[in-house]
Amino acid sequence: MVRRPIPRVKHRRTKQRSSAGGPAGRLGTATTRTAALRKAQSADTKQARPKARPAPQRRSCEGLLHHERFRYGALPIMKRGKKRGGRPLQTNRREEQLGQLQNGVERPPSGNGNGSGSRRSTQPGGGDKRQSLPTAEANSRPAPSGNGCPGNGCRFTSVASEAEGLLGRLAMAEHGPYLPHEPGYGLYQPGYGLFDDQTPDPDHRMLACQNAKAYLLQSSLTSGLNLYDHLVNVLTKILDERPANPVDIFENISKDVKAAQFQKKMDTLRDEHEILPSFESAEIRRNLFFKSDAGDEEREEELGEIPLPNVMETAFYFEQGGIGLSRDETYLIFLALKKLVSVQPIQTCRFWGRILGREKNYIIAEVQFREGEEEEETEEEEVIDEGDKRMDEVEDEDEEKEKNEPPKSTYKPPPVIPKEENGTGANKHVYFVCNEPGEPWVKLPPVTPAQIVCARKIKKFFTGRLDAPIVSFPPFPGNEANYLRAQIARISAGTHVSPLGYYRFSEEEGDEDEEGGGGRDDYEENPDFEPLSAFEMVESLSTWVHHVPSILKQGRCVWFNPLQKTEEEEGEEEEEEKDEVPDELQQETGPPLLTPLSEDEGIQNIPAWTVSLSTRLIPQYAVAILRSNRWPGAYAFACGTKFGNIYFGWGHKYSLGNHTPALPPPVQPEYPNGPEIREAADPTVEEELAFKAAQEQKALEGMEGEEEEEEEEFEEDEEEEEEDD
Amino acid sequence: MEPAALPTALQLAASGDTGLSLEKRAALGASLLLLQRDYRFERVWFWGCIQGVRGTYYIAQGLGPDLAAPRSRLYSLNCVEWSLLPPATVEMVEQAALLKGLFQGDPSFEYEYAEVNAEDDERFLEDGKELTIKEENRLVATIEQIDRAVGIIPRRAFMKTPLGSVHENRNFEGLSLTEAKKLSSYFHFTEPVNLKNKTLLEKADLDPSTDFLDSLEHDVPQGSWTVQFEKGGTVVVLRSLLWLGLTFYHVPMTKQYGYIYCGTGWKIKHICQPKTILGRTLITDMENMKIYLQGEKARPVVKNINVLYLLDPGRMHKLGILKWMWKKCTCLPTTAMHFLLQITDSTDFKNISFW
Repeated sequence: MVRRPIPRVKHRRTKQRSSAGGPAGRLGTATTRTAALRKAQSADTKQARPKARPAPQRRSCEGLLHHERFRYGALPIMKRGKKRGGRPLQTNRREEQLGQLQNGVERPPSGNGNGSGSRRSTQPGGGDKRQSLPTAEANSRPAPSGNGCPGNGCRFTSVASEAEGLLGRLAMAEHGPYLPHEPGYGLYQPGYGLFDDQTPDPDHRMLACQNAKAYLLQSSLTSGLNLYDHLVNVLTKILDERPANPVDIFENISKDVKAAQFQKKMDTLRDEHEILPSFESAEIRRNLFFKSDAGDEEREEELGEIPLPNVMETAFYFEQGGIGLSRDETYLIFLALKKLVSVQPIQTCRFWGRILGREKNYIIAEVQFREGEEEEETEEEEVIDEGDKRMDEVEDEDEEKEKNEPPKSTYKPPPVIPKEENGTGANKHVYFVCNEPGEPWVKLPPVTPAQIVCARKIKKFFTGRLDAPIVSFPPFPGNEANYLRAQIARISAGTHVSPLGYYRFSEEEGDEDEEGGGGRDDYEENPDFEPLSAFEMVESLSTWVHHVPSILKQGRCVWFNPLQKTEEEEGEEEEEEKDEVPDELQQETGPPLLTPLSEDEGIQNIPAWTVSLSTRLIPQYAVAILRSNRWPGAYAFACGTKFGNIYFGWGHKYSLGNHTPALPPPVQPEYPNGPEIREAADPTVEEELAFKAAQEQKALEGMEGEEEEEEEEFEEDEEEEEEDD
Repeated sequence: MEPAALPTALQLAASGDTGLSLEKRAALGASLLLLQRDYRFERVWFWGCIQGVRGTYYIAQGLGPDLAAPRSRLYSLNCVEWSLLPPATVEMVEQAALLKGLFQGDPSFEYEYAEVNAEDDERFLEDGKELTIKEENRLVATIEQIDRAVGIIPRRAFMKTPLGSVHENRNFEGLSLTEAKKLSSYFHFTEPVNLKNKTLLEKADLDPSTDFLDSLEHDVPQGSWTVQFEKGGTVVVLRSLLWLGLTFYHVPMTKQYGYIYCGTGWKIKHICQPKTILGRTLITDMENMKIYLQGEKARPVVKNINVLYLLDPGRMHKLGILKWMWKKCTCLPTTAMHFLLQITDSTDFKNISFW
């Protein structure tokens, strides 16, 4: 097995002669060649299978061995092995393959005849061994194929052998003994076939092939795969699936094949069934679809009217304007509202909207309880009041501590403005919230004026947790539930509108003169309401009116005189409210109820509302859509006798420019700064000396006697007179 | 997003106020395809809408073969007739930043600087530039800003080829559920800024063909994104708190993703207001009532030890700070920040939270 350079020249000549067609001819006969190969394989596999089979079992451990060796290059190892004259360092598998080659030699020439389609086997003048080369290739092929991709058909094997031939050639350049010495000589020159000018020595060539293949067969330490099998699988996949432009997506296919192979599970542990977070919410939502108990239905029948609004109808009109959640989600909310109505003693109910939060969103329902059954609420309120009291107590404790210190604080907190009674003003409605339809509804506490006043000064995102603290300046009295309630009150007051004439003041209340400004807060549906067309609704904002009283600066809808409270007993507050005459404070007044929207103030140049029609093409069925610019996310629609209000947003009022938090108040002085307290400056040395001198002089004069006193006095008087001049 | 995916996308990402009426939605289905034909775009995406006082702008984007290349933008007021917008320039963005308030809904409307700021006015006078800016330009600038700041894609959705162009990764099969929860699996689809500043350790796991963009993980301020699972935990929805109205959706384990902007085109700055003082960037995080000091590099220097507690401004708690320092602090935000910065410089305080 020593190199023989001279015969190589001979081979080259013969080769050139034999491959008459040149490269073109070679390529042109690709299909015939495959067919021929296929035949050869079918013949060869029959013989070779039994011997090739054992290979895969050993391969895995061999792979490890080979891995180390081949890192240093295949060729040197081979040479070393040859020099020793013994078997090559390749392990059993290689021996086996060599053995197969030997077998190939012994086989009758029919095998060669089958393989004659291959270019290599047409070389004349080659020895037996050379002729058996394709056979050897075919022989060794089934082993990996059987391992890597069982169950592939005959076509695959032919492809594999094709690929192998190509790889073999490629590998020859890298690992074979006949690497040309000139740099840049070889595969890298386009149009230059590696074997056109030379025919390698068959032995070496064969060995090179084996070498290359052994290299390709090394299994990776990390994945356990080897490139040979992988390429075979990839090519099979490509030929099976026939994608367009396979070159461009070759990487992807390769990735897919790898991913598909990783499925085999090696450990004996049982897979734990994955529990997706969506299962839980699916469970919650499914509960909405169960029919409620029979008792409830009877109850509803007894009551006659169901307070449940037709959410889907409202949603339909909003959808015309492109507002609203997706339909199935709206339906879930619809079902959730139904659940709420069946549980609580509710007179009216409405889907208020959705406020987005950082972690979760709030779905909000606006309800009014039936009159007789509000007692439940008061109990809850007391609890809340207790909570407030506790807060007060804490403050009191602080004050007590302060009392131990000498100076007493003269600070008096401003009188607390009482919250409005349930069912009136800002607390007219009760709100229930939940994060997802199907979750239990949580009732929001009633809003206090202090909360509304503070909510105006801050701007915070909601988190989605009702018990989250509100970290802000000025500090907000309460947690997120209170803040949410305050924002809902503000949004409702600012954006709940209805077409002009839909509501009218109830006549029973009568006497408008007595009640004055914001007094009338009772209205009823106007039975004589004549709807305006959508066009008219769009043309002028004066066709829309507010039907929720605006909240005064104080934080209440009805003004309360804080001064009066200190004088009178607290129990009579409510009665006083109406009679009160503002003494020093000016009564705050807001626009009366059912004021047209055209009176609304915009923000600088921006009008408060933007009107649009859902369609300009089909005016007959158009819906008038109103969008608030002061509260982005608040919408209203009107279509015939139907109207609705809804809010989808973050719960923030629009502010021109950025929100700047209020400044902290100036720092309190520690003590009053006055002349009594101020320390006098120390006298200087000169002053002291002068003072001393004066003292001494005085003493001396005293010693001299009283005779001169008169004179002195006289002199002093004179001096004073001079000074005065 | 692709016009074909629009109905699904709106259903998945609907925050409730997309303002795309049924008529407009149907019109988009037809007109976007024609856009693709007329302008010879490879694909057309519907970008979203910007609400004005008198009208709403609907925006579409035309893309060529390279997704990272500058895109052509078109606007329409009725979703049928589209007009091409000029490409955004730095100047435009600067000018538009001075404007406040809502869009008017009229592309030829001209804003006057006199209303805006007298100082800036002078500056522009000196430059000999016009005193007005057209709403069209403002629109361009706003879209550019939004795309740059909050245009996001899931990780691995796009792939950079060796030639430098960016394509959709046909191998992308969606984020897994665990990945979808993390901000690090979403990328800004714009020129990366922070990528070069990453340490070798951080870069170790990056794949140059897919991780060629900045992730949302280190966005300033932290917490400017909300990640939620909606529709019963099946869709992950990201919303930007800086540009309210931007919604990104992705159905985990599928190829469905996209973002849509429907808002007023106004950036919320009160949760974060970066200011450059003494050559450093101070970020006030109003949402958490904190001030962060940003170093010279782009990474935020966030130290989590509060040194200065002023719980109740009336009754000052002196914790590691002299009284005169607080007295000096009379107004917000510039002076206070300046003053706080002095404290941080003169002492070992790293982070100061006030109030």
